[in-house]
Amino acid sequence: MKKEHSDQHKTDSLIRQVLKDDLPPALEEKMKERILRFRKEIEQPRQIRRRNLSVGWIFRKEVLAGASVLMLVSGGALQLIGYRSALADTVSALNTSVSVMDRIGHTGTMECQIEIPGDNGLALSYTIRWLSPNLVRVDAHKSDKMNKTLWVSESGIIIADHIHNTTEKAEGVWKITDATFRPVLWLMTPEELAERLYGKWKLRLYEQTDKPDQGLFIFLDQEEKAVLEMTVDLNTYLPLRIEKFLPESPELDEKGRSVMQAHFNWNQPVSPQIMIPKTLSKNHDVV
Amino acid sequence: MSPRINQKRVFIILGKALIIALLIVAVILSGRFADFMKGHGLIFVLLGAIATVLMSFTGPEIGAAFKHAAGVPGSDGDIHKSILFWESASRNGWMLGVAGSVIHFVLALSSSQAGIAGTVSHLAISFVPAVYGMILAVICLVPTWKLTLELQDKQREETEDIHDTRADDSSSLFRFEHLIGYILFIAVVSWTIIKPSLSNTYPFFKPWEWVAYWPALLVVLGGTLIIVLFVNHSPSGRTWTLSFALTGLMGSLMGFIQVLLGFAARSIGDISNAVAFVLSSCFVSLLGMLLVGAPLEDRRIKVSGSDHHSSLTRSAWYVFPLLTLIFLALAFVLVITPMKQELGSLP
Repeated sequence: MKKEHSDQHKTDSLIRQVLKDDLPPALEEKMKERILRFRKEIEQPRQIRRRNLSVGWIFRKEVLAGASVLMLVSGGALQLIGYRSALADTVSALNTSVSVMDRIGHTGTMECQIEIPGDNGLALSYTIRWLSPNLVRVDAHKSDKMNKTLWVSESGIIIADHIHNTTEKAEGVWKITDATFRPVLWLMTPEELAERLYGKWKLRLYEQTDKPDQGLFIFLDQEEKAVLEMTVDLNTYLPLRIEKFLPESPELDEKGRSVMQAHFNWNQPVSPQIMIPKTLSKNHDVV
Repeated sequence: MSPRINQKRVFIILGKALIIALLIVAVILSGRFADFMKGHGLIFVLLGAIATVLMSFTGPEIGAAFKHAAGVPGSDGDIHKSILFWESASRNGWMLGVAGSVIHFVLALSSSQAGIAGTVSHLAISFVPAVYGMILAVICLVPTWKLTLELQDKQREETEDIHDTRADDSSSLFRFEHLIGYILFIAVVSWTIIKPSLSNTYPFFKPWEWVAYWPALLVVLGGTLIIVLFVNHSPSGRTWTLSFALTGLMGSLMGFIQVLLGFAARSIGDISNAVAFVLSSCFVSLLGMLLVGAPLEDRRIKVSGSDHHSSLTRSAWYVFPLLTLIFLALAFVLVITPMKQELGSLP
């Protein structure tokens, strides 16, 4: 028995001697670290489970699934019932203004009545008729009397003064020097109006009016420092009315700020005869 | 390689970078590419790229990636991490560029411009950040390819070393750099969205109202959560990435169906609502992929034994932003396409 014990002891010593723990301290440290990490990893799920139970039912899978289905359905429903956002309204405003500009450029005929309040209640009024982009007649009235007429045609621009019985020619719309027509030059041709929408007027607001098929644009004309309100027909995308205002000021009420009102009538038959300057047919060369 | 040779290589690379920078400055100063210069977009992409890499990588890993790209040798495991870094940076650049384009598109719509021409030109310029993102992605892909080829050439003798480095669990933990990355990213996005509207006198809307566009937000977040829960697996970056991409795509397609229906009904209101939905869905999904999916996946790859990102995740990262860019172009066309008048009102 004693011999057996002594043999076992010898074997143990031999094993210890041969397989002695000679790991470098750094590696031993690393190994210990790993064992600790491994232990932690094993224990982690248990800890998480315990924590989950204590946090409560919020993170339970069924509750999360229910909440996400609710989110998905309510998001889809909100979109389908027409949830309006500011971005959608802006896209709508921009697209409507592009459509208006496009329609003005492709329109047939137009007749427009313009009123400009004058001093002492003497209002200036104009009738502008477009038969085609290059065939336009503008009549200027003062105190209900036709004062002057302007024709735009492919052959040029002619202005007739009915009071002094004189005529004048101009080479381009923006070269007209007659002060009578200067306030309405931007309405002289479809291109001029479309150009304002395209490159000059700054869109400030767009909203639907009380009438379902009408929209109201508010633009800022930075050159003339004026505010313009344009009411458009949303079926045809053509302007119905444009009103021009001076910028807001404490001294002026809304009526006092209004400097021009234009009412449009689109695609109505206009007699081509009124486009022929009869008074000039005999003396075209008179300047 | 001796330290002296290393130093020489770093100088050569710095010299090359300087020459490229000088060329870029010359191109900018020539004035011919003025339309392609968008300071805000550039800052968004650059700062966003820094923030997103910080979300996934630690400071020493980033430093090592730059050193390896400059030719400094390293162990296979370290080079592997550097490849992952450059690939992630490339992917982030691309996604950030597209996200920047979406933000600038909305900003162009939110601000009042001189006429339709002004707005349309701003909308067109909003695509420039995507170009910056693409350029950054290509720049970051170069070191990826270089290091990959180098690694392939090397004998894989130090297999143990690779596993030892990859098994360094410290990279999987949430580090201080990651927190900085998240804070920086949120700050960059917020600054990009808020800053222009503060200087605008007549904004149509505050851009942050658009970010909280509830239908898109609910659909994308709800849909993503459902998919993640349905997968019934511990949610990894891959699951989040794919879920965000899929729900974003689903939202966009829903939006486009609504656009078509809007055209059928000749309703600008419906079309614009749908365009808003498409833009918001894409943006929320991109943000989710950048904030949640990509960093989680990068950190997982660093500690797992897998060599690279899965091809499915890669396709989500590269294809979804591309689709977003296409959707953005379609939205641009929709915004500037005039509606035809109703048949009954024809002259």
